[in-house]
Amino acid sequence: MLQVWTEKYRPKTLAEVKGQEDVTKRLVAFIKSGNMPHLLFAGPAGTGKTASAIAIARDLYGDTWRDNILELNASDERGIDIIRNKVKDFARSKAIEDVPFKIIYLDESDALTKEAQHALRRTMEDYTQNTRFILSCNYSSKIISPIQSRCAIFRFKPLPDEIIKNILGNIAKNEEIDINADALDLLYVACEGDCRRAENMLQACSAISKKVDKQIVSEIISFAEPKEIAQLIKDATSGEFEKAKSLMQNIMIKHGLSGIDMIRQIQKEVLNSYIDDKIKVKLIRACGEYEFRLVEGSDEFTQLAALISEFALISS
Amino acid sequence: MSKDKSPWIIKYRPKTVRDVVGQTKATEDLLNYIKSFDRQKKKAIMLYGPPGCGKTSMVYAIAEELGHELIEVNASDRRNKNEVLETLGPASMQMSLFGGSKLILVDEIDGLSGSQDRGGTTALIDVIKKTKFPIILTTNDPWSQKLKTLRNYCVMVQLRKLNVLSVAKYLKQILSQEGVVYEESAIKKLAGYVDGDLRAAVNDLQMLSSSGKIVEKELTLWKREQEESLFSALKLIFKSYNSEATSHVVDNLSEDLKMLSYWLEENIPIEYFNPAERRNAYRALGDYDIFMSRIMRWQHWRFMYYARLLLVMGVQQAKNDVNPRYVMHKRPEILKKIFIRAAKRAKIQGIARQIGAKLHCSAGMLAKDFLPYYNFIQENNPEMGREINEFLELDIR
Repeated sequence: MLQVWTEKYRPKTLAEVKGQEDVTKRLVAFIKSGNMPHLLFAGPAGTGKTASAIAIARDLYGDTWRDNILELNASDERGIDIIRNKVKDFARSKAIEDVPFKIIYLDESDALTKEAQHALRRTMEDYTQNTRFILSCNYSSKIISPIQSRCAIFRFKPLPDEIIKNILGNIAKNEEIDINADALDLLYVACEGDCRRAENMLQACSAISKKVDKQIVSEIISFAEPKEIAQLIKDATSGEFEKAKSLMQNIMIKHGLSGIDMIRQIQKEVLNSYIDDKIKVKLIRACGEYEFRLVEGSDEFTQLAALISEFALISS
Repeated sequence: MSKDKSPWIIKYRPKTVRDVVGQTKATEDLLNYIKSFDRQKKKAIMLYGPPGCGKTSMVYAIAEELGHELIEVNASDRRNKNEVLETLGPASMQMSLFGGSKLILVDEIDGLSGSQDRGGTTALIDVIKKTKFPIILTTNDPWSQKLKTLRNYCVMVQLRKLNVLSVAKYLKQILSQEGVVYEESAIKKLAGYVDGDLRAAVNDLQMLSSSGKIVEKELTLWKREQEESLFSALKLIFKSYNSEATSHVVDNLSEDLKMLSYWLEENIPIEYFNPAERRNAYRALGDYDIFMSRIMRWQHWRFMYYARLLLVMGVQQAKNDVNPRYVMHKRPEILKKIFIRAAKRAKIQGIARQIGAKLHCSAGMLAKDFLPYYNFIQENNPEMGREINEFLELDIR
């Protein structure tokens, strides 16, 4: 059966996790000893944090790994109480095999507020007898120090291009896909170091043809990015404020974008556009400032309308 | 009751100089100016006074009485340099169609500014220098900076704010002609409410008379409702600098501040044209939003004081000038859009929840790293898309 490649090619063991040898070496040592502390995985998206957590579970528990790991996602679970209840139920249920501890993997834990993190710290202590937590985050600085001090911290590095190209090359070989070097280069640039995204992109390429070239990759890239952004910036910087504002709202609706997503798209497009560099600096500065205001505030449409009006003023 | 169905404000506009309400001195000045125009050094006359005190009506009445043709350029026309020259240039030089004299009225010259009327003032001065006929300008605020140069070419005539008695007298004349019954006290009150604005008074009067009689109790109720309404808040914020009156109205709004902010959000671009005004106004809305979320985060309700001020005064003071055009305020479309986007995001979240566990991924991550490519496959290779759905055990309705 056809599968989603990120799952099909997910590393089965720690040895298969590529590009993070400093981390995996030490993790393997924990597994050999049969004991491990709580772990904190810090690093960018798509560099192997979840893969490592699952590989640990597989290495520790073999076939019953699914029963002995609870995956939670801090950005999906609403509130620390739900997390606590799930943790409680999982920790209390009897282990299937005779395992020393079960694993709770809490992904994107930097999405938790400070208060929630303090509550989490208590939960970690309450169940430390028979569970180990693996927390993952993008920035360890967003995790409160009492949690950091209870965890062994592992930093996942951004994957270098030869590693990502190597992973993609292996998948292509296995799937009988012919991909040339140009296409691989472009995939690497477009995935921004995120291996999961790279694999998803490659699979999308394969939906068109078994022969993947640069053009197909470009097609995927432009499909994934809202095309209207360039028009939006053109309108905003040429006195068409109302047009720009309503286009901006419609893009957000059509693609279900959050305000932050929207600003990042705009900022990317500004950088790639043919606007005078002196103006560009001002526009980018405005993006930064309004991203900050967006985080501070709550009404995304209002803050973005203000950003558009700022663009109009800068270019007037 | 009279058969004429036109709005009262037109139907009862003064037809002769004697009909003009409460502006004896100014009417005389204007009449004398026109009659002695050939001897005047300044070829234009500027009538100034508060809204609804009778500036335009006076000009109409005099033109009618003297039998002069009236050429009018008003606020609804765009008045950039070319248009001013095109309409006023020839009109000010050529004799009128029937050989008689002409009056040229440029109404509400406050509107003659900003990007839309670029060069309008300079062009107007050129026309004034060459004109063969009196040019009459009207404005609420003759001392504003942008009329400074223009003032040098004009004779200035002031119209006073109408007092309560003259307004009331005029209203009662209309009512007796219309055959509407009224309570004396109600008319007095209405005349007081409008603060010298006869135009507003006549409009209100016509609305109130629809029930056939005007009683004080109804007037009070109606007035309060009107005052409390969002529309008066919008009008005060966009069309005035009076922060005190505005705060008062905003305090009595039945809608909450958030709703007011949506209305402002929608209507800023149609009230404010200047990029700096718009930016300042949206910035103020954004500041309001930030303070509101600080209140929510810290439960620090004293910040409400700032939030309210930033919203109301921030947007009000963002303008350089009042846009004199009448604007029909639009209902906020944003509410619908917020709703649609929320639904869209809920749908994405729903899909993400179904497949998140399978792909070891959060909804946010899926939306960024998976769904775009998944959608691409569904569109370009439905066969493969179906197999992927099977793998994901995704129930696509």
